Amino acid sequence: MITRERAESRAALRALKNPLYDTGHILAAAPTNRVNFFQAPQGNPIVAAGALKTEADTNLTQAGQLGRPQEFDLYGFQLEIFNTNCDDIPNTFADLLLVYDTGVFEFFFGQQRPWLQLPVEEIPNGPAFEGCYATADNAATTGAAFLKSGEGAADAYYNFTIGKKPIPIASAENFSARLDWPSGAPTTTNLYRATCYMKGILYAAL
Amino acid sequence: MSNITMSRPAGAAILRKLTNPLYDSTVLQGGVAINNMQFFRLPIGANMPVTAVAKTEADTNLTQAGQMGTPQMFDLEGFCFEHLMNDATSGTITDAQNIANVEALYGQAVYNFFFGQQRPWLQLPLRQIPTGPFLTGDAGMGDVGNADMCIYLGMGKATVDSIYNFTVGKKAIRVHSAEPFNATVTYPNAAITPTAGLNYRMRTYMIGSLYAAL
Repeated sequence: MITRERAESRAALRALKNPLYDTGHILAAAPTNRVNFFQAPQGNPIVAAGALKTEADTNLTQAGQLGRPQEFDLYGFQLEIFNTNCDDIPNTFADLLLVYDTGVFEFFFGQQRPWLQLPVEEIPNGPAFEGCYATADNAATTGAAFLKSGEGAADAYYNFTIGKKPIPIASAENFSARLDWPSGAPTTTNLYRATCYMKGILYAAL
Repeated sequence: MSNITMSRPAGAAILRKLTNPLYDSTVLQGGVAINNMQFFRLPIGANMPVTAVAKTEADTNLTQAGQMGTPQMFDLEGFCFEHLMNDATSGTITDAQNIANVEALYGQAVYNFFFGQQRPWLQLPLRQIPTGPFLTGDAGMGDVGNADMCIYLGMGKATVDSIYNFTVGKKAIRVHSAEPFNATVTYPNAAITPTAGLNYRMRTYMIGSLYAAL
């Protein structure tokens, strides 16, 4: 006897203005030419043999997908390169010029074909340190080099919508992002935490 | 057996809609390791952590722990978060120490907002929550030529419209009188220890409209 499989029951979801985010390291000692995002969820090492990720690093609990019953409406992206040695002003300037000068940001659904591919400085940082010492006074060697792409504004993000319509991401849909330096790894002096934000609306279980 | 009747519904109060945030503060103690801060749990009159001085309206406008109390309501639109150092002019802490503290405060911090106790309705890096309006200008921007501390080193431009917008479809989230809510800042990767001798006052705002009794 042939029967149809039963339709999956639908979950009741709550719409939350909560981004998806993930963090990788731009290493000082052993630079690589790629930082992957949204492929190693909470509980996985942030780099090989590194500390395990927590909600300070990512809010993904599955590799490369939301997991049932969550869904997401994607509006755009922010990319934060957070300086972990911000008062090392001369080296930070040199490091971040390297990172931004030849970096490419890519976003994928599935594995092969990028849905977004552009120079990394086109992706705004979003809210970031502003005010006194956020931009260094190099001559006085006091201050911090919290350099960033764009003004530190909450509404500064790369708008990925077309006709103001967000892109829906289903529970089991694969997605990822990455920072690439195709012409060679940036050999930075300091360690940087790179956090990618997918800005949008998260539909979470009640 | 006596007759069973339904309880009478509470009378509906007449409320005035005010553009007034809810806010709460705590103190971060220098020299002490800390892995979380809690907000909206200690109302006016309760002792502030660390200083043990009774809270006033300079610290919070909540009069009950974790809820507004009848008949108030609130339409939540977003959040701000700020830190204030208590040593802006004495110069007992160096610029480098302050910068290192601020870097640690925000570097791997998570901001959580809850209705009820268990499940966060918002969970994201603290750096996503803007500071909002703050001291700026010549003195506010410090003077690297002497030992005075900078005043504003915060998240985003210090403007009044700089908030984390929590609305979906521009609709504010209604918080009812007896609905429990709270916010936390946590450091799940590692506790932080600000410079000894320096306390920071940490404050978060729920931006929106308060419905208060006439």
